[in-house]
Amino acid sequence: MKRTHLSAVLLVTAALVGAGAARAQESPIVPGAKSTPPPPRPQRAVRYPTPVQTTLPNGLRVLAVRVPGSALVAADLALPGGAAADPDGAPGLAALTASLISRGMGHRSAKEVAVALDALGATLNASATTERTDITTDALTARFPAALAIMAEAVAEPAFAPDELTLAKQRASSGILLANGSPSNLANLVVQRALFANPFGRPISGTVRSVAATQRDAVVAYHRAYYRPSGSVLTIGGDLTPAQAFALAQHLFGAWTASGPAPAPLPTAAPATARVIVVDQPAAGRTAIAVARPAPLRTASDWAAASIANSVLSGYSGRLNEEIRVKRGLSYGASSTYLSGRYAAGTSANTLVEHAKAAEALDVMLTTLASLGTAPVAADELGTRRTSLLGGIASSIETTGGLVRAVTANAFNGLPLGALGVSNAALTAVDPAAVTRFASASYARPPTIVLVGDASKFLDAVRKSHPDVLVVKATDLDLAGEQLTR
Amino acid sequence: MHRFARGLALAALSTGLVAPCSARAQQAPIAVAPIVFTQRVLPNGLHVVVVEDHRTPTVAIDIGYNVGGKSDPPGKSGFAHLFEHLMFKGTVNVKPESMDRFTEDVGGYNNAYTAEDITNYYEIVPSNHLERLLWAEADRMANLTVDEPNFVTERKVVIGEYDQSVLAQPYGMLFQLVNAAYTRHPYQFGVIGNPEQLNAAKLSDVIAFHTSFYRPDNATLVLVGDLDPKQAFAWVQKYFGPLKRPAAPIPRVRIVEPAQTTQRRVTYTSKNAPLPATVIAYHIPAQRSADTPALNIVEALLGRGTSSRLRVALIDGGVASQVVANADTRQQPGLFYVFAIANAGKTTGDLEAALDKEVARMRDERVSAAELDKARTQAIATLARALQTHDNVAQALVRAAVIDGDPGIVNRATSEYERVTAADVQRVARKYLIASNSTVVAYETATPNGPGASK
Repeated sequence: MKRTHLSAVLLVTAALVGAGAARAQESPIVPGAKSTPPPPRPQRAVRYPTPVQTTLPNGLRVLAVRVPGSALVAADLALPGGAAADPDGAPGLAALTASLISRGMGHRSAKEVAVALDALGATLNASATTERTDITTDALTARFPAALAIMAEAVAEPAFAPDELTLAKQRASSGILLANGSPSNLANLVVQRALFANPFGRPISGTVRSVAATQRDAVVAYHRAYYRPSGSVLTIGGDLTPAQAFALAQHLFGAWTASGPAPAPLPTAAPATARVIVVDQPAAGRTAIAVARPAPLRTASDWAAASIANSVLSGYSGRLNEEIRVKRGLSYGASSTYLSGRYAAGTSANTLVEHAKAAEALDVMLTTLASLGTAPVAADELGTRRTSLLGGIASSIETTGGLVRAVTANAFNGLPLGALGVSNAALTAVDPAAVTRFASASYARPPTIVLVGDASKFLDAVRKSHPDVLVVKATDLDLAGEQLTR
Repeated sequence: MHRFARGLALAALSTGLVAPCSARAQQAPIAVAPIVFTQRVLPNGLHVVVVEDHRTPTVAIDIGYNVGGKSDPPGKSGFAHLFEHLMFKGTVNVKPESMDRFTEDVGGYNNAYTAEDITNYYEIVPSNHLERLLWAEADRMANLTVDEPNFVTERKVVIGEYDQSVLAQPYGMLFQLVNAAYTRHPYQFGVIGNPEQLNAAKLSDVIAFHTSFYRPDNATLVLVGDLDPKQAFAWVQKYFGPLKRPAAPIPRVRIVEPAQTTQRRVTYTSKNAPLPATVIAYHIPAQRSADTPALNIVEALLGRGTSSRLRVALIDGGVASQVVANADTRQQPGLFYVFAIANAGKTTGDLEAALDKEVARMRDERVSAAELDKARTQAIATLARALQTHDNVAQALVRAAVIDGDPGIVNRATSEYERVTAADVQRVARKYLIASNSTVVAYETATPNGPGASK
């Protein structure tokens, strides 16, 4: 029921922010009488902690970040590989492997592991993304060593019992059906597939067909190749000293070894040729629209400019929502997301509209995105958007788990230890000219466009501006291959 | 993060390092330190709750009004929620959408939600902006201005929200159908309403609604974070103190849902759901009931964690892909429900049979000490996890204050869980989780394999 919350802003009202006018009267509210808001006081700086690191003799890189007073300790182990390391034609293997590691291990059955974790009040999650697999755990501090012990055993000695594989395949298959039932989710999957050439466009969860075909040998082989200490990053965060965190890591992960040679690192993603794709899903309640482009990697010099450009488009009063919702009432919301990894990165602008409004909304989105490179971003617009972006980053590291995930991602992506503070400085240094320079190049490139909905209600209108449309029935869609159908 | 004991941590770690033992070993009981708050009621009736916590340089400002979906005018379902949107449309002092200027522009965020019993407005901002937000919240309590064009536009946005969250979501209709558990109480109409009834609302209803409910004696203001309580109370007094307490009484819902005597069944065929789903909902007492802690433990036993009973029986058993148990306790008698989405090839009947069987076990067998202890530990750890941010601490306090009239309930949860016995668990299961007190919703799919899944 929430009022849409994105983040956001275009206008800066001088009267509200300008100190001079406001300082005059901090008047009490008297119903019906005019009053002005009091000015802000001096701001306290956000603390961006810098982790401490060590490397265990087996090659595992361990980072510790202290969070005084935290009731919980959290850990995140990032392993290289991810869906981009899935075999050709068999997407979903990294995700299926991750989903199995806690389902029985060493001397414990799946049920014993589940009971032990629940009795600790701990969480243990494992999931794959395109570039890596993350195993995370958290527990109240006193219970954390026992939770981390289970995680270490799950990583090094998973059983991959055949009946657990059968159940995991069934769960994965249902998950894919559920995700594909939502036009917004399906649009994102098609964007992922269409934006990059193999190995980067694969659906992380695989397809119903590829999951059903997965054999235990493949899972075991994936685990052997990619679950290895060297090249992985473990972060432990909470109210404990780095020495305690390192000792715990050595005790629980020190004996972990890999067999066989390390697989070759992933290449940098190659963009695919931009296409306009309509997925016809007549039963969909609304049409989802996505407009996507490849974008700078996390370590690229224009990462900061790309981040600021994206934030100008995003949020409740960002340019997209302003044009789509506030001015035209075409949708409940519209926004843009920028995800930047070590090997692949992209931006995607998304909205959800009535089927019959899809062509109009697409036009507005394309015009709004293009305007970023042609209409200069005013200094005050940039200032508020930047502040909003930095506030969002600060908020994402407020929980111990959030901080640990951010530290792990930065380390995995090859950023320096002080990356949280360094990124803050880089974002602060971006000026309007840098945004225009970035956007005029990036947002001028042809985008990959995906519409998922009842095509009979919008296809003719979309074709007027985009004659070269690939139309695929949702029932024929096969995301395993670049051609989208079998 | 904030409020919990830390002494337990390091001692355990330093000894635990040597042998991070099996989880089965004897464990020290976990303790959760209370949220330390001070509260005051202004002469005009405004309830103020303040928590000082300097760990991050932000502050959460929540103002919860004791009004929600159940307060909708008759025939105008969804009105309280529509009104929530209008609270962003400006005052005699600020333009529409100014709350975003006060929050997003300075690195914070704001939002609001409407539930059955509460409408909560909240902002999280750098702490140096606290005084400005107090001014802004007092301003919109006193000085809201809504004109016809704003009203009509925002009504369209709310209907768009209905389209997006109910129509476009494959399972969006499911919990609308569960409301059939109520025959007389306004909980039957839900919160989101429907386009027809929203279109029946008029601008004059807006003004009447604001006058009836948006007043200091119907609100709780919660401030959590990097603040000086003395200064915060002084600012609250300065900006909210002059607001008057109206003489008219606040309208309250007094309809009592009659006791249910036979099971109700609802079948619905979804056009866009990929897999069938089943909900079984049971009437339970109001949140302030002494049975609430035991019902929360039943929820944990059935649905929390990988070893929970519904997970083991339905997911590990291959019947379902998702399961949920929820004690949805409310200001007035709420619902306990169990919910599952099937795997391909399984039916709503399969789900109902499996859910029924696990609920019956709660009634028929007494839970073991180990399983009960597990559920308690999970409940406490979940609480600790949830209360890591100023935002969540403020949300928990404002809900407790508005729904139960006492923010201190947040701190009693742990000890109440400790007191629940196996006999209590069985007693509440036998009292409430019975067929004659239930509503079953069978959510069927239009085609055997859903609306068009990719291969």
